[in-house]
Amino acid sequence: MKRTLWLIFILGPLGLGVLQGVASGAEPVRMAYLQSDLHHLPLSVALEKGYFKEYGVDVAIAGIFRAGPETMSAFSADSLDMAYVGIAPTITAVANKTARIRVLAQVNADGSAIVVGNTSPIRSILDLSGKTVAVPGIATVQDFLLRKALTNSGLALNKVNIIVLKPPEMIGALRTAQIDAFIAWEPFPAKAVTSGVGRVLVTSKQIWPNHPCCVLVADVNFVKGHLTEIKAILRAHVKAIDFIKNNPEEAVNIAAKDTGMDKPTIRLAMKDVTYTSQIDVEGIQEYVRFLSELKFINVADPNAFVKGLIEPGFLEEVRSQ
Amino acid sequence: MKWTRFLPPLVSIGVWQGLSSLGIIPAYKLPSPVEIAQGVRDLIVVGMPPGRFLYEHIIYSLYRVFLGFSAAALIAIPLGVFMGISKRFRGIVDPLVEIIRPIPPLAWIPIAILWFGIGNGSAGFIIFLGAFFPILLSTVSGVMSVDKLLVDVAYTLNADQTQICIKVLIPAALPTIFTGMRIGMGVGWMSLVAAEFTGVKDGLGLGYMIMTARDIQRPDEIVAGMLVIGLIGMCIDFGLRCIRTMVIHNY
Amino acid sequence: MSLETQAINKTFLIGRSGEAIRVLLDISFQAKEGQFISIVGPIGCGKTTLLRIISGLEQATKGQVIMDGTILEGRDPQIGLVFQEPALFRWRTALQNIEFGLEILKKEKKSRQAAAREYLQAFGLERFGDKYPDELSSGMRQKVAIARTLIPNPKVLLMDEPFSFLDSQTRISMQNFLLKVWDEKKITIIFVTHNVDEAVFLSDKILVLSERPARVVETIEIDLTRPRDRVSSETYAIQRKILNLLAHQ
Repeated sequence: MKRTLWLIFILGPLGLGVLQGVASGAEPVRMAYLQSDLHHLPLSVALEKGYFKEYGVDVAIAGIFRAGPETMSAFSADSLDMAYVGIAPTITAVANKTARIRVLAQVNADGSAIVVGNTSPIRSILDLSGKTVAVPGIATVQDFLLRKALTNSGLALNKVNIIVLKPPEMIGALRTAQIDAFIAWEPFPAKAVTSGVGRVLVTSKQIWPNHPCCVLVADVNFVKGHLTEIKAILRAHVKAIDFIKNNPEEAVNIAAKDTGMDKPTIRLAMKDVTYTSQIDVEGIQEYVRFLSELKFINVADPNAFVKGLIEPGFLEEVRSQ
Repeated sequence: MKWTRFLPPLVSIGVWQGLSSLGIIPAYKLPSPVEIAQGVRDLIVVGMPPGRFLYEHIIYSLYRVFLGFSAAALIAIPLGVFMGISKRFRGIVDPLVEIIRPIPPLAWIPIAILWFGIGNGSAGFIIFLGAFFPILLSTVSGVMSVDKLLVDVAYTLNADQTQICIKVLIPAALPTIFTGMRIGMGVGWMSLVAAEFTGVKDGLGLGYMIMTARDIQRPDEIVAGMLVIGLIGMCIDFGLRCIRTMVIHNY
Repeated sequence: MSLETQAINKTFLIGRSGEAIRVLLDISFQAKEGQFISIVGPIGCGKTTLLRIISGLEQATKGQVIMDGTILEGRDPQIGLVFQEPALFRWRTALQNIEFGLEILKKEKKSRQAAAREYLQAFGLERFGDKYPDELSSGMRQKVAIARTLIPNPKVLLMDEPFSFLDSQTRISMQNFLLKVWDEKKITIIFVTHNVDEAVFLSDKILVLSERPARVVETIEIDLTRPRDRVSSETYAIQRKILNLLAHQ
């Protein structure tokens, strides 16, 4: 009797492990994206319209993160294969050698905004001097854009109190005047407006027209053995972007479902986002330059670095077909 | 202090550095001792985020801990004394304490932010919660385990309830109360870092520093920051023990 | 102050079932002003309970305590109690322990420290004033405890086997010491002990109690002159008498 019990205790877990391995068969692609981020709409569309299935690839959501740096940590921990994420955290992670990923395609340009309180006396970037501004994370695209805006206006960075809040917390903090402004990805700026809490001070488009924002990245090791899956995902990605352009109202529905926000907010937000899969190499080089200036990274040769970061071949192949 | 005491940790660090240099331990998962030392230097000289230096973060974190811990001690000790003295009062307060106590301080973070805003208030509150219960429980236990004989002695020397409380119960329970304070401070310090993770208005604090190091993908500074936090926690505890020796010099 | 008890009865209710334990049964005795009374009895018979009732720490189930003709309701500040253990406050020095009683009476610091120092001197402890209890010998601790009890000037001093934890040499010197204090202060002393020769050596009157529930078996007046001879035949006679009473319960 005792012996049987021991056998069960030891072989049981082993057996379960084996069964689990057998049952999973070919593993799905572990994909991540950012919470309530309108920029990542192509992913939601591809999932909703079944494009991944159509092109024969199985995609599983392995993480929904609250900001880009968290996605990078997941890559470091080998828990992700691909992700929709901002270019700034991507560059930071690769430059600081914590994640080995490649940029396969772009997702969008523009689509963020600096929001101030409705009754705030702040009228220009210079008025942010001495104020508290929230960003979703240090070295995120939004943080980058804020610092760029300040620098462009000639305002010293240490004159502004930049703090980190997760986007869902920003609107509440603005409402209770704990912060004077925030910068976040759509639809949060739009939500601040439609809920009567704030108004847009300046859009990211105005700070830096057509700036690259989010990209589709993949772990280097994943790229090596999974060319078919990657191309399939890129096809779905391109198709999803076309869909959004040609079916704006249905895109709004899907976005509302995914972000949990109301349609008027989404419609307002969508006005500001430009979806494109074309990688803007010069824009990315500008990111690398400025991040080095901020001392977040230490890259001697930005152009060489960007060359090593981007893997445009698969996208070109897909688009030519 | 024999030098051989330092041999085991030095050897371990040496082996660790060797493994890192050989690439067996990947740098992005665990920085090498040398990288961590450089990380500490960067925290001091460059700052994280760049421009916010280590000493500023330390001051802010210490301030928050001081706030939260003092509030906890000032409330928990008198409350604990009353609970220790009066069985009825204890019966009323105890159920409330026992329900709230198991809730981890960190679970309070969303509520704390709603009540106190993002800043010293909410962080101080989280630390208060962490420190409060160990101090309360050890005060109650300390007071209840005071030798009844000492109370009888004071009574026969004509002391009234207040005098017994202040001149006998509290001094007699002080060693136990102090132990509670040490534990409370430890829990409070640990809660502080996580409380700061979620957002502090001034952009300063050791937890915030580590979170930023994570955002900027500098694992060497993350671990350096952890090291600093551990060292400071150790110093605080040492300080408390010194105070204890001074105050309770002859128990 | 004269002290009298009239038919003190005490019943304790103990345990979850509230079992009634009868401890004291109609204890009555009288102590004239300045008298030294001893109470002897078997261990556990209730002698401590009796002292606690007189001092106000417990309440009698029936009966009363009368001091100078007035019935006492609970505690009276003129009654002091020396416990079996010194029970010194370990966080206070010898001096601070002694002055405690005056602190309670809110006496001003200088005068109460001076009074405490007087006691230290009178008890031969001048050099130990700032020592803590764990640095004192057991005899010294008991002296400090006695000084602490005496400093508020009680007129009646209750003592619960105060020398039982001391070795015989120290015990003898403490007995002599106590008699000196008694002679100087002229207080009424009620002294509990299970040591018969101690009782005979010290007291004017001895109350012999039975086993629990304790009742007064006999009250023995002692007329021997002081200073008493510990080894005279009269002393032995009284001791024998008491031992017999205790043996035949």
